[in-house]
Amino acid sequence: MRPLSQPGKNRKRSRYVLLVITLLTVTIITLDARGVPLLSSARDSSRDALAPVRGASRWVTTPFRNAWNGITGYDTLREENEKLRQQLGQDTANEMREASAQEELAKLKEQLNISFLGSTQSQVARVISGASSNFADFTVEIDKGSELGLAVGNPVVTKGGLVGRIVRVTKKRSVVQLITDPDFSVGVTVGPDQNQGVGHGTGNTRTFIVDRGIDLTDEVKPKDSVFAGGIENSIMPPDLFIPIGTVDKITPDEAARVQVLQVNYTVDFSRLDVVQVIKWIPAS
Amino acid sequence: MNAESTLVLRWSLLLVLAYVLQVGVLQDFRPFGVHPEIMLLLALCGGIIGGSSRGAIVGFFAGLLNDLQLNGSLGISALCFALVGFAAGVLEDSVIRSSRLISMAIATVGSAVGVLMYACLSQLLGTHSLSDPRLWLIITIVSLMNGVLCLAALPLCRWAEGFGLNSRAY
Repeated sequence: MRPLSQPGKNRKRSRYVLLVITLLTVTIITLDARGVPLLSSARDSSRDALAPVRGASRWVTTPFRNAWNGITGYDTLREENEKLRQQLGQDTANEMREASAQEELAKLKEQLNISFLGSTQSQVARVISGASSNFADFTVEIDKGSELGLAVGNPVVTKGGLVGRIVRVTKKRSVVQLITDPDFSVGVTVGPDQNQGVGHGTGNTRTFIVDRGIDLTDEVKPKDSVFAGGIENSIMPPDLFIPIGTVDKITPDEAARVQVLQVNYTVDFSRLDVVQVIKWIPAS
Repeated sequence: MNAESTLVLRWSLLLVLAYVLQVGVLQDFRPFGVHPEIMLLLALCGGIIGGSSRGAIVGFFAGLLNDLQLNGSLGISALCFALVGFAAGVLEDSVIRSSRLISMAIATVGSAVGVLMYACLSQLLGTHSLSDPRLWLIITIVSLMNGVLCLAALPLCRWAEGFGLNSRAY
C-alpha cells in the first residue's frame, strides 16, 4: 500500500517531474504548431496503424452499438420505425435486405454520376467516422488516403454539393474539414449574374454565410444558387461550379456596404455516407 | 526483470489497452452525444493510486496517445492530463483516510477540470471548444461517466502499480 503522505524528498521529486513534463508538452505543442514533420508523421502512422483496430472493433461491437443506439435514440427509432412501416408495408425480411443492398448500390452509383464534376478526376470514398473529440471539430474521416492519390486541399463533394476539403492525409485515411466549420472560408459565385463573394461556415449544419464581396448594388434574390469555384486563385477548382446551397435571407450591412447572405446548404450533413474526392489541389 | 521494468511494462500495457478501447469502442457510445474519456480517467487513477509523480507521468503518456487521434494540436491533452493526474495525487495524499467514495469524487471533479482545461487550451490554439454550446453538457457527462468508470479503473491501476487487484490501496 502507498504511504498516505510523501516525505519532503518525494514531494520535491514530484514537482521536478511535473516541471519537466510541462516543459516537454509545451515544446511538443510549439513544434506541432510549427509543423515539424516528425510529429505529423507520428500522428499519421498511429492513425494508419489503428485503422484496422478501429475497423475490427467497430465490427465486433456493432450489435452492442445498435442496442445502445436503440436505447439512447428510442424516440428517433420509433419515428423511423413508423415511417418504415408505412413505406414497406408487408415486405418480407429478404425483400428488406435486397432493398438495402439496392439502396447501397444506388448511393454509390449516385456518387459516380455527379453532373457538376464533368470529366474531372475523382475518387469515391466512404465516411467512416465523425469527430473523435467530444468538442465539435467539424471534421469527418474517410476511408481513402494518399495511396489512391488523395492530397491535402482536395475538395470533397456529394451529389448535393460541397462537403469540405481534405486537411490531413495518411496512407489509408483522410480527414475532411467540413464546410460547416466557422474557419472554413471559400470564394463563392452567387446567382445568375455570378456575383463573387466570400463565405464561411457558421458551426451548424443548416446555414452558410456570405458576408464579403456582395455589394449593396449587386442583384441577389432569395432562392438564388450559391456555388464554390469558378474563381481564380481559390481553394476550389476555377473551372467547376460546385453547389453550396440557395440564398435564404438577404440582410444589407450599410456599414460594410455589402449584402450578407444566409444560405441553406444543399448537402444533408446528418446523412453523409459516400462522398467523392476531387483530385485537384489549390495552387498555393 | 526488476520491479521498475515490471512497473513500466504494466502501465504501458494498461495505456495501450485503454487507448484501443477508447478509439475502437467507446467513441461510438455517446450518451447525450458525449463519449467517456478513459485516457483522462487513467491519468486521474494513476495519481490516486501511485501519487502525484505517477499521475503526471501516466497523464502525459495517456494525453499524448489521446492527442494522436484528435485533430487539434499535439500535446494539449498531454499537458492537461499530466496536470490533473498530478493534482489527483496531491489531493489523494492530503486525505487522511482514503476511501472509494473520495477516489470517485476526485475522479469526477478531476475529469471536469481536465475537460475544461483542455477546452481553454484548445481555444487558445485556435479551435472553438470553449465557445462550444455543449461545453457544460460535455463536462457534466464526462465527469459523471468517469466517476462511475473509476470503480473499474482503480483496480486495474492498482494492478499496474504492483499492489494487486484486491489491494485496498485507493
